[in-house]
Amino acid sequence: MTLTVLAVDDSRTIREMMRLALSSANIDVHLAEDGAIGLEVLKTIMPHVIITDINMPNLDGFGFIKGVRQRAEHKSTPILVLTTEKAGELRKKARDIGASGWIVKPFDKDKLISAIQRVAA
Amino acid sequence: MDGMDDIRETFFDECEELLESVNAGLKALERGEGDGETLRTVHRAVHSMKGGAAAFDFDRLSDFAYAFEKALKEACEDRLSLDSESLDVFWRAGEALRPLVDAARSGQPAPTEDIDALTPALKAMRVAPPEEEALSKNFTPAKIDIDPSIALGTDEPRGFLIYFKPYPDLYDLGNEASSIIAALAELGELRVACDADALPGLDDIDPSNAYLSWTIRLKTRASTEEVMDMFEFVEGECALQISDWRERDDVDPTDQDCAAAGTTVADVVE
Repeated sequence: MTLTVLAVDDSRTIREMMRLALSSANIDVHLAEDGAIGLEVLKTIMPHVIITDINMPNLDGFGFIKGVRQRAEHKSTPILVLTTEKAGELRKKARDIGASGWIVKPFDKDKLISAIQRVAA
Repeated sequence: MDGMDDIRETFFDECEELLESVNAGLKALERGEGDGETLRTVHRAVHSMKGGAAAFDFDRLSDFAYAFEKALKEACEDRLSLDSESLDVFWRAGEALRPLVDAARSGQPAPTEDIDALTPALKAMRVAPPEEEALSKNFTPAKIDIDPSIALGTDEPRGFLIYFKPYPDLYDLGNEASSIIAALAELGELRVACDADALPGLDDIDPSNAYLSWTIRLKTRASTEEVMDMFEFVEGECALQISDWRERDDVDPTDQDCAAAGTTVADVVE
């Protein structure tokens, strides 16, 4: 089964790193540059896993996660939040609004893929 | 990773846009034309620069951007007033980013004079406790029961006995027990026994509840930490016990543990 992932991040560098890392593992990658665009993309695809940054313009990661969870079809889609090593409080807040887990930035390719596989049903 | 050179160039191109954004935002704030969104835009730009720099191990740039970002956040969250003094530090910090980016791009040593002077000034602006402290004050991590006798790191295959019982929250947040078990199987040889005793009759099943638990025997060269990593997203959302299997090598867990637990369903994954 080919996994489909939606990665949402306002940094072009991070988006391209995601695309490179995930494509090399034969994961079908869709990208969005903020939460509002991410919600639009979700009208057209059903990803197995969503990865989102928090600090983004227009709609940040918290707003995006809330928006995703309000949609019945994505109520249980795994959402991984991009965080830094020290962002424990942020992880807790993200978890409280519906995130499934987190990926520590800067991410290691193998750990990123392992985290996706751990949550992809 | 192939293609990283191209992404490195993307990073430096993006840095040009981010530096412009920082510059324009700080100018607007200095003129009194900016607002909260202007400040947040500057903060996001510095934050993005930090993240990209860290990905490429441009430590001087990422460390300085981190200090700058944290000071900006104080102002974003109204813990620091934007007066001429703080704006002056922000302005000089914005100016100091350019030579750091140039140094990262050229591979030349980064200038240190301004950075060494500005970093303490930025750090002194932080009012909020570091996130780690805030975490320890406000958040008590859920306890996971690990047998302390488990040895750390070994090249020899070793056994782990894992009892895993998800709570309903685990599934509510998009996690899935079968995915975690499949990920464990990637670490080595796995035997899994599912305890379905708590499963009620079809008419009484609550789809939002979690009824199953698993007893897992894992033979692996992975460290305890690597095994624990498989459960890091579900901490607090399951009962989890991990113990050393070596003492009980002669017993097959699918027989002993499941019999003890009254297991009715057994499955073996190799």
